[in-house]
Amino acid sequence: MREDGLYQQFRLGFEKFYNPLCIYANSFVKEPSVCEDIVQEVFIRIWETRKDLVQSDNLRFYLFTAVRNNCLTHLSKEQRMTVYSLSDIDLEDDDTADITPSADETLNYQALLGQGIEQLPPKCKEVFLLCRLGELSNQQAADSLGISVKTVNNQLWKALKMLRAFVKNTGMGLLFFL
Amino acid sequence: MMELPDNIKAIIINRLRGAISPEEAITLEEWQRQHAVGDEVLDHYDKIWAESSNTVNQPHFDTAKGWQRVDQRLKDIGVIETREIHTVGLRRYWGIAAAAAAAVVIMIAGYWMFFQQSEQQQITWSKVVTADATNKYLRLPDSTLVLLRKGATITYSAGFGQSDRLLTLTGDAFFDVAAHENIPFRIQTEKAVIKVLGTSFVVNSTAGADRVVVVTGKILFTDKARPENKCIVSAREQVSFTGDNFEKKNVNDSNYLAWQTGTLRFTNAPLKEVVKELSAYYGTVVNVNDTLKTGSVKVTASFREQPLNEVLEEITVITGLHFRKQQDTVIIY
Repeated sequence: MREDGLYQQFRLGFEKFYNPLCIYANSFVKEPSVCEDIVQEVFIRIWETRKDLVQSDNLRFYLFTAVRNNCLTHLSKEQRMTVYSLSDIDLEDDDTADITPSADETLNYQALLGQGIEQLPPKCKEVFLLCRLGELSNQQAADSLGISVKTVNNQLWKALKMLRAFVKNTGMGLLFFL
Repeated sequence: MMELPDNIKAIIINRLRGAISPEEAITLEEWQRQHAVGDEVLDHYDKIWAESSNTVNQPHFDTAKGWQRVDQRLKDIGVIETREIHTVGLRRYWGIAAAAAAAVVIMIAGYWMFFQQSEQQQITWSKVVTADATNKYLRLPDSTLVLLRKGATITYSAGFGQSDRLLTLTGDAFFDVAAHENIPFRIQTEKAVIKVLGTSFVVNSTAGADRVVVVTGKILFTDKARPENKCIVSAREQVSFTGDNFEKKNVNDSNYLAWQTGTLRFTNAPLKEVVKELSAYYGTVVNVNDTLKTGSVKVTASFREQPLNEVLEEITVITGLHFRKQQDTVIIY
C-alpha cells in the first residue's frame, strides 16, 4: 500500500528529527517531558493533516518552525517566562557580550564547545541551534524565525567568532592534541 | 581579528555548509591573500562548525519511546472504528487546520432533503454511499476522509482517483481531502461545482442558497448554469450563492459542523446569522420578522443537543423577543 510506505517514511523522519527537535524545544521550554509532548504533537499533526509534507524537502523546515511556535505558545500560556520574539533590529545591537569559560575544568573539545554554545547570547544561540540541529539553510532559518538572511548570517558569524575565542582561551592546551 | 565585510562572512558560512560557489571561492581566496589570512583560520571555523553538530545533537531523548506514543496516538485517532473516536479526531482537524493553514478539510452541508429527488439521472456513477441511520465515516479510494451527515449521499465513478476525483453530493458532508496535486478534487451539488485548490472548505446547500465555508486554503466555486460565474474563496471566508450572485464574508463562529458536534455556539452573532444556523441545523425554517429592526440584536449563547424549542426559548429570553410556529416555519418577532 502507498499509505504504508508513506508511514514508513514518516517513521524514518521521526527517528531522524525527534532528538534534535526535542533539544531545540528544550532550549525554550525547560521541562524535558513537555518538550517531548510538543514534538510528538507536531508529528501527529503532520500525519493527520499534512501527509504530503512527509516526502517534501520542506519537512525539516516545517518541523522546526512548528516546534518553535508551539514552544512559544506553551510558554506564553504558562506565562512563566518572558517570551521574546526575534527581530532584525534587536539582533543587530547585542554585539558586545563576550563569553568566558569557567576556569579550572579539563574538558574535551565537544564538552568545551557545548559549554561555549550554552553561554552564547540567547538570540545568537537560537539561530545557531536552529542551523546546527535542523541543518536548515540560511533562507529556511530566516523564514522560520521571521528575520532576514543577513541577520541569520550575522548571528551565525557572531556565534562562530565567540566560540572560536572561547575554545582558544580555554582549550589552548587541548587544541594541540586535536 | 578585524571585523569582516558581510559578503565574506556569508561566503565563509556558505563554505561551512558546503554550499560555496566557484565565484565565492575565488572571492574568498582573493580576500585571504589581501588580508594575509591563512587557511588555518578557516580550518578552525570548519572544526567548530563540524563538531558543534555532534555537540548539540547528543542523544538526550528516547526516540523509540516517543515513537511508540505517537504510533499509538495515531492508531487511536486515525483508525476509524467508532463514532466517539471520530468526533475527537475531527475536532482535532479544526484546531490543526487553523494552526497549519494548509490542511485539506472540506465540509459540505445543507438541507439534504431538498436534493433527494435528483438521484435517478446518475447512470454512470457506480459507487453510492448513503448515511442512513447515523452520521457516517468513509474513506475514498484516494484516502480522502468523508463524514456524511445522516441522510446524505455521495456518488462517484469506478475510476475515481485515476485521472479525476469527481463526486456528487446530496446533503451534508465533511471532507478531509487527500493531497494529490495532479488530480483535482471536485464536488458537484445541484447548483454548483466546488473545486479544491489544495485546501479546505465547507459547503452548505440550502433550498435557496449554497453556502461554502472555507476552513483552510482556497476553493473555486462555480455556478453550474453559468460556468463563467465563479469566485475563489479563501480560508476563514464563506460565500453564499442563491443562483444569481455571490455574497462573500468572513467566518466567525464555526457552527458549520454542528450536525456532527451537536454544539451550536454564537459569540456576539447578529440574530439574522443565528436563525440561519438554526435553520440549517434543525431543518426547520426559522425567520425573523422583517419589520423588526433586529440588526443590533446580538446573541451570545451555546447549545448542546437541545431541542429547537428550548433553544428558541433561550434566545427569546436573551433578546426579549418572542417566537411562534406557523406550519413548518418558526417566526421570531
